[in-house]
Amino acid sequence: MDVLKERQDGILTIFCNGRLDGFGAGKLEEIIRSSLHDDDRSIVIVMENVSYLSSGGIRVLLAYRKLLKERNGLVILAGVQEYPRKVLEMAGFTTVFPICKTTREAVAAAGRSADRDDLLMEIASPSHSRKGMKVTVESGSPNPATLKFIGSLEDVLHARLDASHIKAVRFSDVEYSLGLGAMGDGVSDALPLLGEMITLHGSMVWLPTDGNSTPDFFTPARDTGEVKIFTAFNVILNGTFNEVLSFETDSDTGISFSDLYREIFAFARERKKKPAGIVALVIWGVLAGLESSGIKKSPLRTDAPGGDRSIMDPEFFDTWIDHDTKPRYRGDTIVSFGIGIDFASDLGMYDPELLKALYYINPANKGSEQLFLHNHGVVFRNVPWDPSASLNQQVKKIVTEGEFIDMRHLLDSTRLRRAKVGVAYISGIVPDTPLRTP
Amino acid sequence: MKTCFHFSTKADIENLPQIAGWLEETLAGAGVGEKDQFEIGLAVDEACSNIILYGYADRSGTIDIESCIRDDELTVTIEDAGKPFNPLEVTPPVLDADIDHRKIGGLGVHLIRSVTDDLFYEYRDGKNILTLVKVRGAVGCG
Repeated sequence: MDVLKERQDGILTIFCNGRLDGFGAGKLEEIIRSSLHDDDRSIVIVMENVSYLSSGGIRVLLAYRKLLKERNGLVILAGVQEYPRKVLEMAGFTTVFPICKTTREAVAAAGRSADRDDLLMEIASPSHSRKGMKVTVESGSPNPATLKFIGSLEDVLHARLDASHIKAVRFSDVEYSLGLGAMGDGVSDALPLLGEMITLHGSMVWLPTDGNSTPDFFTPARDTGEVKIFTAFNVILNGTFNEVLSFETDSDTGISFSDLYREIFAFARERKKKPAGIVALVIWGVLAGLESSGIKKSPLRTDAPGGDRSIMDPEFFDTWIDHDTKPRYRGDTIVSFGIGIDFASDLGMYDPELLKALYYINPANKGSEQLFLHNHGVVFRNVPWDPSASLNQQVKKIVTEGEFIDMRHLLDSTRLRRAKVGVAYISGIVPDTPLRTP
Repeated sequence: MKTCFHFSTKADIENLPQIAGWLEETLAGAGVGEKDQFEIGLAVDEACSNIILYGYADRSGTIDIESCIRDDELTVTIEDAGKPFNPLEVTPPVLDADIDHRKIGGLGVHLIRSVTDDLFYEYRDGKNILTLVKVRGAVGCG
């Protein structure tokens, strides 16, 4: 049997050609498993060219029927021929799978099953359209949020680090944070491995700079304070979300992080929200494509480029920074934490010296100079998209139960198809230790 | 008149289409109608799937098939040296259970029973021997 896949109106549609017996069932299973996105609800199996169906084929259809039922979705069959239909009848399965005459009807039926859920969501919280996106807003905490930070991005990017820059933090102190860090027995152990890191609800995910580009995921069973995170630079959300925005894009290519931040700043300005010069975002979304860049080796003083020049300098960039602009992980789930600074806004309320510790210009990020974004994200798979779930609860659930795939420093060109976004409007920047003066 | 054909193959899931192809060719060549071909074909495919997936789950081996065509009846005998397994003892599935309680186990044997008129099983000399009997439909009514 041959199988082909296609997306028709966004619905995963599998064309089978030949015998759907125990052998063909394996091929069908494989193509569905590798093509199913975390936000897929219903799928269509086109059986116009399937002459034969056995219990082996029914087994795969039933397995996905059960999986998609949890997402309120269906397995819809199209163009079922005479004999396969008889097998479904004999097996008592004609009531389990809706059967449509044509692929077009099946795709339309799959779309309707998704719309019904959207309708329920719509009644719960009305949405409005914005630049090809459907956006809903839930209000969050009225308390002001601040950013706490450790170290300075400038020291990191000029490779000025030594043991004196490293600070140990407890898991419980960094619910949402990003930066440069490592885990190990002590400072000297961690120092040569410092890499991109993110903490999410008591878990630390980081990319050790050991040359393997393989992330490490760690969740302590209990935060006894014995296991510590060693960090040279860390931006920590101090407070919680003031709003949760949910959005869904019309197109399969979704929206980039830079456009998303731009829209959030614009939306805040329209509603005269203050402060709105800096936001911190916690995102749970479905990827249309992840693009990344990340530090390759620990930025130690001993390895610094001469003349106190930045490792982001085009001359050194490739030695120090990996970047990957091939969009990856389409249809997988991402949980990210990051900050955005809008230089077009009035940033007068923030201490300019403190602000400077937070940003830099990454040459790999092409585009607007008006925005500075810094986001780290963790990729998971097989986490059904459930728009009704609460953001914090869902992040906890994904971090503990999701199938961990990768962790990266995100380029602003990373694209999301849909997401729930916790927005904290930052009212101040607080250094965790007194600023070092050069 | 009785005409018999024999086929032997390695018990591998990849060979299911090959078994089906051989059977179809044999039956069509002997003038067996399409509906009978499909129904006995389904029974043979389900029986061979069971042998490959369960009987030979932990070992390799062969499947021997003999198909005999009479004017009024088809018989197919399938032999394997896998784990002893008597399909006649399989509990029939509940066909109207809700989705969460649907099971695939027993469905193959249920399909075999649905499309055959008689089934015989014996375990002899270390072999499972399953014989499927199907009364042929009137010629020309497919």
